[in-house]
Amino acid sequence: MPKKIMVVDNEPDTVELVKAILEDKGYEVVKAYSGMECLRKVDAERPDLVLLDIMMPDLSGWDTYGRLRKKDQKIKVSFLSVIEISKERLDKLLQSGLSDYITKPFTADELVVRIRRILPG
Amino acid sequence: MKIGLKLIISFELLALLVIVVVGYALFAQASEAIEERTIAQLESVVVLKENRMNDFFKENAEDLTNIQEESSSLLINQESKKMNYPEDIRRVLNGKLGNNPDYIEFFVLDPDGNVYASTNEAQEGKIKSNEPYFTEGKNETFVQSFYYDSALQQPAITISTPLKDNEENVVGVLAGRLNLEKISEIMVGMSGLGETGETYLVNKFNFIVTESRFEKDMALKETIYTDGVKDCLEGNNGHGHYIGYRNSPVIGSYAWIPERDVCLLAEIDQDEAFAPINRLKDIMILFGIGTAAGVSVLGIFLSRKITNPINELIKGTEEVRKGDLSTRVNVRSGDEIEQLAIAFNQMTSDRKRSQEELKKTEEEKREELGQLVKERTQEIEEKTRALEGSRLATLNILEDVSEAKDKLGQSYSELKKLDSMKDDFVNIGAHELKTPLIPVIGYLSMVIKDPGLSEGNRKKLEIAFKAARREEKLVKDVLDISKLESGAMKFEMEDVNIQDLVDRSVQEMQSPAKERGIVLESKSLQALPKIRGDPQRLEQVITNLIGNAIKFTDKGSVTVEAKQDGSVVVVSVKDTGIGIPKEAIPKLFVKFYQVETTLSRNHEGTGLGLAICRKIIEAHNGRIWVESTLGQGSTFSFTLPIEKTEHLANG
Repeated sequence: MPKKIMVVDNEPDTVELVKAILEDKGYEVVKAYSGMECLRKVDAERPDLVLLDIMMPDLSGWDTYGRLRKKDQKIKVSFLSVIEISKERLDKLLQSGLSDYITKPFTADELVVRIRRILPG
Repeated sequence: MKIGLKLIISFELLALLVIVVVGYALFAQASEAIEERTIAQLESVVVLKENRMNDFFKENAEDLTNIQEESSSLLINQESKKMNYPEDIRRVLNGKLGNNPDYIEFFVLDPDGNVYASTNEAQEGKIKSNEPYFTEGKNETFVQSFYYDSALQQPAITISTPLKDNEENVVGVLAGRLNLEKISEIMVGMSGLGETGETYLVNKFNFIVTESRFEKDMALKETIYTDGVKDCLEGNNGHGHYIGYRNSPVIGSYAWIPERDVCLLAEIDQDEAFAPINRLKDIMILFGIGTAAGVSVLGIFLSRKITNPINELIKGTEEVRKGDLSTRVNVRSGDEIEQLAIAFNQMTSDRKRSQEELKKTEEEKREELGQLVKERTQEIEEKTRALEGSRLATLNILEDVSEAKDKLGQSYSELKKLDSMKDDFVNIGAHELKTPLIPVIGYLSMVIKDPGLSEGNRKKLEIAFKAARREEKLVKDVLDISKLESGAMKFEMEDVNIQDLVDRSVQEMQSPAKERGIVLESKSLQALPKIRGDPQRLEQVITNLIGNAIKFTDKGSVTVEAKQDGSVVVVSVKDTGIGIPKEAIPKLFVKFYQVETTLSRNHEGTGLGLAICRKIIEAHNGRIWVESTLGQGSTFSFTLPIEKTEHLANG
């Protein structure tokens, strides 16, 4: 069964880029353009991983992550953001169950490698 | 145990004791008395009967003697000195029977002892020579009593007297048989001995001689061996109580009558004799029961009288224990308990009084205290008023101070707002600057891999990709320097081991160094104290310096060294590169300044690296500088202050 990845970003170009890269590698990709849309779709879609942008207009990535985590302790989430965060914050997030923090821009290889690390097999 | 029960038991025991003792004594006394009386009675009966019997015999003996005297001439032929014809004698004897009702037979015995003539003709001719009345009667008047006449088959008494002629010669024996019933009559006749009393005669052979009052046909047929008879037959007169011949206990009195060779006994059943006592015993028992009941009642009554007042007292103490000191116990028993109740009442009222007094004192004291407090409060208020004046003065100062604080607070919140605005600005800036690069770098990196791509196209795309990467770095640097300059950069200060950072940096930069064929190494001379700094940013500085060193060195080495110098740690990156012209040195750390030399144009610097390093180091209270000789190499160094305590520890 191919792994399903949900990509959440208000920037359509980014969403399309991620979709192109991952589908090329055999992943199934689900799109969401806002935090709310992500939360709406996540129960039905049940993705193996959620790639979450941070700077989004309605519901920020932080809040979306908080709600996702409250809903489902086990769901795998990785941020996908231009913002660089402090080591301290990153450690806290990793402890809370965040799988990774991938910075943009990224090359196709970088993205795939990081995702393979989160979703082995 | 309750008092009532104690009383009842004590009384019952006492009563019982008394009854038993008294009863027993009475009983014993009465028994004795009755026995004595009975015996006396019996004895007198014995005497009476004896006399009567003796009288009977005496009389009848006399009568026979008289008959002999009177009739001898009729009975005896005086001339022949022989007895007349039997018919004649018979006639005479019969005549005598009429006059002597006690006799039932007269007869004459010849000198041989044969019955010569008898009023009972059938007896004539019988031999009676062995009979004592013949053998004795020949000599004198003889009473043979209480023998069993075998011929007649009945007990008999016979009196005999010698038949004499006028010359006193014994011609024969005149005898008369007595009516035994007469004796029995004497014996059995009422003598006031009650229902069970009787008298009877017993002969030497233990045969009862007279008829028993109670059992028929005993005379001279049954024997009696009671203690009384035994004792009597030994020749004793006496009395006692023993088992009678009817197997019932009797009291008896007896006398041995030697003339008749018989025992005369008078007996009465003990039951009858002691009947009165038994009645007494029954009365006593009833009395005892009655007393017990009465005592119980008395006991209950008495105990009530005692326990009721006591219970009153108990109730009273209960009330007091619960706290009600107005309780009074009402007891009018007129005894010690009443006194106790009075004392109790006294005690509680005393206690109540002292309690009230105590309360009163307490209240007084409280009032005093209140008064005292009021006075003191007044004093304090006066003093406070005095202070008010100075207070107002201070208040004004305080007001000013708080105003200043408010302003400070305001500026602080303004600053914070500014700060977050800066953060937002930086974030938004970063976002906007970086966002276009995302698809560029992303797609280019993908497409470059396309196997269907021509070599020429691939090369073009690679150039574009690298340019995009350079742009990405430039954006990063610009953002960094802008954050550093605006103060938006947040350092995460920790205790840092500089040597670790150096080693990590050196490790990371090994491959670019190898690509250019130069040696990159670190030298550590000594153990370095920890310094306070942001490890990420400091590593960034070291990496930047190493990167520059590698870029400007074609051959040789780059050496990184860290050491302590007094109160600072000095890190230096030394290369054997092309060096820096003197005039360029002051401008090195300035934004966007890039050293241009004819020799190297393909460096990919942004001109911001050193400026960023300077900002970072200066933010750490350090200093950064360079020493360089053109053509020989350059050494970039920076210092970081050591924590005071650490500094002291390491001298």
